[in-house]
Amino acid sequence: MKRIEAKDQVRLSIYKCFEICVNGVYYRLFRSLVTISIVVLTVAFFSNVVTEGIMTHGVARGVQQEMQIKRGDARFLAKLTEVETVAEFVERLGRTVPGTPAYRELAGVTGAAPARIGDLVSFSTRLLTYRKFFDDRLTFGKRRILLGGKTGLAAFEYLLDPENFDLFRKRLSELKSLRLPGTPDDLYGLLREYLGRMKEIEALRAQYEKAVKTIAAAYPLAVLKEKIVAGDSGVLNLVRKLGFQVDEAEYRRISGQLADTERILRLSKSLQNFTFKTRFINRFSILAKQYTPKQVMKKLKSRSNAAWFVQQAQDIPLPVDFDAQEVRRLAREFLARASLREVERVLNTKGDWREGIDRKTIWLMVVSFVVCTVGIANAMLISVAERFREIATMKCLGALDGFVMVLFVMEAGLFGLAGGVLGVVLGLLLSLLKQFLSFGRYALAYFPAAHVAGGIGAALLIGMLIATIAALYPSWVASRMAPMEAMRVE
Amino acid sequence: MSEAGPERQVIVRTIDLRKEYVKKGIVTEALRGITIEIYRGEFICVMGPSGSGKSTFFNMIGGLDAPSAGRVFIDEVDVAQLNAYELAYLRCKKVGYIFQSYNLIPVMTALENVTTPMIFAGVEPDEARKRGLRLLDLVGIGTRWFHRPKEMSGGQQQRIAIARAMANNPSMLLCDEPTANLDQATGQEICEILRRLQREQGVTIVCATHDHKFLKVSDRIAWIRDGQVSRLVRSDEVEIEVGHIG
Ligand SMILES: Nc1ncnc2c1ncn2[C@@H]1O[C@H](COP(=O)(O)OP(=O)(O)OP(=O)(O)O)[C@@H](O)[C@H]1O
Ligand SMILES: [Mg+2]
Repeated sequence: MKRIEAKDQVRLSIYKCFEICVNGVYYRLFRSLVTISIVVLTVAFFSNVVTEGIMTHGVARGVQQEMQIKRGDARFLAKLTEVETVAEFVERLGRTVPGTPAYRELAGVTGAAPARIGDLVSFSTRLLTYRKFFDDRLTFGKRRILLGGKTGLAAFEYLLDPENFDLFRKRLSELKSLRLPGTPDDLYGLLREYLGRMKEIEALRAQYEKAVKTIAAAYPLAVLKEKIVAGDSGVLNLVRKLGFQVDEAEYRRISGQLADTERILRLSKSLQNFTFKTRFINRFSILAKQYTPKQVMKKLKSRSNAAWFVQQAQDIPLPVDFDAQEVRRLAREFLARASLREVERVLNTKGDWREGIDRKTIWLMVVSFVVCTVGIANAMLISVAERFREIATMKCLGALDGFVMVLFVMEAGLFGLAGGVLGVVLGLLLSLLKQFLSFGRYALAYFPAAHVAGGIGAALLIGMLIATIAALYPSWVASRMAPMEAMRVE
Repeated sequence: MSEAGPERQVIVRTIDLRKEYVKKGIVTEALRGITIEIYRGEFICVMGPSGSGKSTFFNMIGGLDAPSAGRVFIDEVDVAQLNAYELAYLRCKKVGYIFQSYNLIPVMTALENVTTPMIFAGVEPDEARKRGLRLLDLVGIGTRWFHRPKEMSGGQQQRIAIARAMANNPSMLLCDEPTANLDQATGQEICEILRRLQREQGVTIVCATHDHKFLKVSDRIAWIRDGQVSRLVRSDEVEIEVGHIG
């Protein structure tokens, strides 16, 4: 008769475990799909929020750049004709990045030594971080307590008073949750420089003002515009002599843009002609309230409508002499600018995207991460908990604790992977769709592929990790229980 | 085989086995000092009223739960001294368990249920399959090996459970009310299968039950009452009394 001897149970290979695990998933397909779908939904939600944030950021940057180019003419004109306030000038200095044309222009227009410009730029940058902090981060109440309610540069002038600064320092230390961008000593150092630096900045600004006045003396605004549209080299020479950084090619581009702007303006104005409006409404049988520039321009894009417009322009007559092709081109340009403006408007309603990913979105990401964690963990806990009996049975049949754990953790990992991949795809499709609805073609034109890939990878990894970790604990508990204890758990 | 002489080999020995369940501060004494010897190759029936501690006893001698006090020796090895690996080996190879509620793994087919303990024991899949089919044949459901437990009747499920318990040729089968969920006829069949296994393969069978059908097939009967063995007799002594006990 065989005796019972005490020997170690064999350990199954990982491959064998995997086989058993996949078998189980397959047999329990429906239940598995339910669990996976929970993972899919939560990962989809998370990756949707993340990729949407990243994509909006990408669109914002792209649109901003495109806008800067499209508005090149307006910016150029403003530079030549408008005098900035000190605050505006400090703002510009603070934003100027060394090595860029804008930086060279500072030196060119003001005639100041590069080293001095560098000092002032870095001073302004520092000042700006505090300015932004004071104006944007402080609540109304805190600003009153700390800065006597002052905003902008006035806040710094308020702090220049030593008494005020001491008060500021004292109250700041009481407001524990408030984090200054630098130490109070750093701010103090900045304030000690303040008066001297501002005097220098004012001197630079005066140089700009002088340049603007020189231009105004040479060309009244209307004349200046005409000359630029005509690509007049006299303007270019004067502007360059005054130190503005603009090369031939750029000047030509600006000239073309300004010409278009002026022409579009004339076209839009002629659309307000009452006779034309009536005829247009009749011809296209639309309501009077549908007669908006955008709607009209959309019609004018077509060859036949543009031809009709030219005919009307001669007949009424309208003060425009564009041929049909030009009308179509201007209409298209008008619409392109309008849609860009529209996207910019949408972006502005979505928060401040200039600084990076908007705070609200980061908050949303955190929340969705928590939702994701709780959702997946819950699904995994349930899927282990409802199989305590099975675990107990397997232990009665000689399963090792390790095998039970590997089985469940592996299963959770598989669910995490499958759910993660599907969820990520779903989330990405959703955000693509939403982005497309908000931003149209810009959503694709400025699709930040690399960043989105990163976001997706993170979502996938998080999904898998959470699933695995969430299964780790209950299966550890279950595997260590005596079989009968586990069987009693309901 | 029904001869319980002192020369017989002891396969399970318990010494003053006790088990208390503590729940919400209330202590339930399920076993209150059981000392018993079970002989190799015998068919012993553990009877007693509901709540008397049969299942608890079953769990203790099967190494499925830890006693509060006392000792369980299986083949002179103290179960409490075994580590997790040795315990798994014991459950896998040396003892087969049969439960009232079958406890089959629902996602597996009959055959897979039977081969699972073999796979845990490291048997090659082909060999396991062959042996599994043979065992299913032995319990009379060889043709239905591809069905899941849900697609089978209670009696058929219990047959799978028996085949599974026999998977690694254990020395001992522990049964906890194997026929409680079954009708008379099916219960009788299960009873006979177990008896055949004992007679033909020399497996020790310990069967906790209310079912008087087992009185006829067992060699000895232990009566448990309030967690203690109240009577331990050879079945031929009992058979005459069944009338007024039942
Ligand atoms: N997990 C538990 N927690 C607390 N008390 C328990 C637990 N399991 C069993 N008991 C108690 O231990 C005693 C013995 O229970 P056991 O299940 O061993 O009885 P049994 O003889 O198998 O009864 P039945 O014939 O109804 O199956 C009972 O009083 C029961 O209430
Ligand atoms: Mg019981």
